[in-house]
Amino acid sequence: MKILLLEDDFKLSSEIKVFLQEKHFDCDAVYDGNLFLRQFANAAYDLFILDINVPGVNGLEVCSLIRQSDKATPIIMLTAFGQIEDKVEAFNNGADDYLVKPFHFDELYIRINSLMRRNQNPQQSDEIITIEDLQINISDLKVTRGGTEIYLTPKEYQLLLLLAKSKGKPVSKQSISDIVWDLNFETGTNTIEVYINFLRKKIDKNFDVKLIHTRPGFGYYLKSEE
Amino acid sequence: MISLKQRFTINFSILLSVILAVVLTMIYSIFSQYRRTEFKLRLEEKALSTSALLADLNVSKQDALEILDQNSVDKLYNNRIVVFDNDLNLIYSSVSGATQIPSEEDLQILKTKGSFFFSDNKIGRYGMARKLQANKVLYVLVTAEDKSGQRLLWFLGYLLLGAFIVGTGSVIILARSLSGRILLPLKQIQERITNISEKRLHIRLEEKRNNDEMDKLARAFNDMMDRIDSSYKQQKEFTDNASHELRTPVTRIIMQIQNLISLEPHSDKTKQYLNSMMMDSNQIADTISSLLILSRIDSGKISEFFPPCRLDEIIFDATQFISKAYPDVRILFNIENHSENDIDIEVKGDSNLLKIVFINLFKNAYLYSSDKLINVSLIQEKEDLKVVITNNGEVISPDDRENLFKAFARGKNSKNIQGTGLGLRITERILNHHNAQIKYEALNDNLNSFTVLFKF
Repeated sequence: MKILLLEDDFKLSSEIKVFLQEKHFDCDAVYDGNLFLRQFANAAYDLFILDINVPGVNGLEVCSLIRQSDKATPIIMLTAFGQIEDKVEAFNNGADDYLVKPFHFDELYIRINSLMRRNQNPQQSDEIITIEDLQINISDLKVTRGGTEIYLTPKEYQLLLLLAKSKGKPVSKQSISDIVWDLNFETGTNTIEVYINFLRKKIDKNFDVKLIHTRPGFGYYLKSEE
Repeated sequence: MISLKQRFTINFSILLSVILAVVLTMIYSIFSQYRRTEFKLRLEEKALSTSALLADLNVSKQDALEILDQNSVDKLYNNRIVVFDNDLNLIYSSVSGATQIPSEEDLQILKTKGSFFFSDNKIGRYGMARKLQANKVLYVLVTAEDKSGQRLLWFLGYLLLGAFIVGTGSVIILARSLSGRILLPLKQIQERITNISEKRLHIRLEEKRNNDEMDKLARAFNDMMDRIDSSYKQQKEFTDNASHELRTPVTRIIMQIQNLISLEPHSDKTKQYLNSMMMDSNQIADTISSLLILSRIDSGKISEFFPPCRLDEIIFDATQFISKAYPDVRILFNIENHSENDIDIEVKGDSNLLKIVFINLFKNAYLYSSDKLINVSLIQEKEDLKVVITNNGEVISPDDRENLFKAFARGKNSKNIQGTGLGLRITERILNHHNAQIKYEALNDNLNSFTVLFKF
């Protein structure tokens, strides 16, 4: 497993390198953007770690240059705290993940592993749940109804997915609270109703066939009308 | 407190009306003088014509004289003519007049001086000695009322008084509008200056380039603002640069300690020291990051135009972060709608910044709680959206409440709790930046509550 690291601070670079080598990664480190691009052209790597503020070509430009020829290899950007705009730009330039300095090495390790895993089996079968004209695409998190895309917040999406996966059986408020929210998180029953309402507004409001139903005493379920 | 405008109006009006009064009084007195002279001339003429007639007739032909008197075109009102000869024998006296007969004294004055004229407001007396031949003198005395002159004088008096009132009135109105116009730039300047605040140092006054006093003032003010603005910027940039410079070595230290802990075998004591150093370094990093956020908000590097974002999702992101950092935390979450509208929990904001707000508030609620339970309520009301965060635990003392949102202020209850003293400061600044408010209340002896308020 080969990693190419772009970091202009010599000490930081060597610390990261020491850590990665300890975790049995093969790590090359370069200190400026031009050197990085030369190295990128000469050898094959499994992952790139890029600092943004480096001499020569900066990290964001390096990132988009990599993406012109290589769409697959994971890229982790290192950003300085407070540069919130950088994060957005990092993703726009094709980065897969970012870490805010100072980060914990264990965190870096977890991110590398998860990206590697994702990269090893990239072609997940496109799983789509279809109920009437409602489609939930699990791989790209897109929801459409009657062909138009419906924008859901993460919680709304998780709630819809939970209802869809239970295949018409009612899901109790307690289960919704436990599954959609964290374990440390307790929601009042009123809150679940609010989210069901949010979902109804987005999924059912503009359509004649209502999909979200309530079975009093049992919970909610997703089904075309009987 | 009398305003500059009022003072100008009053002073200007008083000055102009005094000048007006003086001018009008002069006109009146000159005219009054003129009337007197005119009256005297008429009396003199009368005396001359009467004495000429008497001299020609040489005898007293009273009837003729009286006819003449009564038909005279230039009629003197209420007049009486008496004529005496050398020896002060009355040789003629008109009867129509009701005015009194001249006294002995008058005749004496005539004898010595040759002529006299007395006049009070109503009645004028004129006397003259007319030499006819070498030893023959006629003493003619005319008394009359100057009715028409008096009337003219009255008329003029009223006219002038009217002119004074109208004049003074228009002077006051003129002064008001003039002072308003002159002081208008001053009012505009004042309105502009009121808008200048820490965040809005870019405001400048309008320079008209006509080189008048207002323009000079505006320019001097703008120069001053430039200097303040630049020194403010330098100060902000200093914080920004200093934080950047500090961060790199702290990051290095943290990473080196991390490697030191995990890569080398250590005694328990050394490990303890290393962990403690690590924690301290992390705190320094936290402080630096917080200072950076503050300076970025203050220096306006963070946009004021926000996209809409869902407040609930921000809260969930923050709770996720807290659950990761403190696995034993419990969070009770509730949404309530107290308005008659459909629930709408969208706010305009920077979700990353607002996440920092709620992370800070949840972290505090957890660290200062006695039972590790945080109660979070998202409440929609008629005109605002409220997030109420409560926790059981020692309440903040009234003394500390004043300094709650100040930098590096830590309360008496924070002795054993790690923190930078910047969390609530940042929280407040970020919320201010979003036009949202935060307030603290102790609901009872053991219940803390922070309320964040977003106006719709």
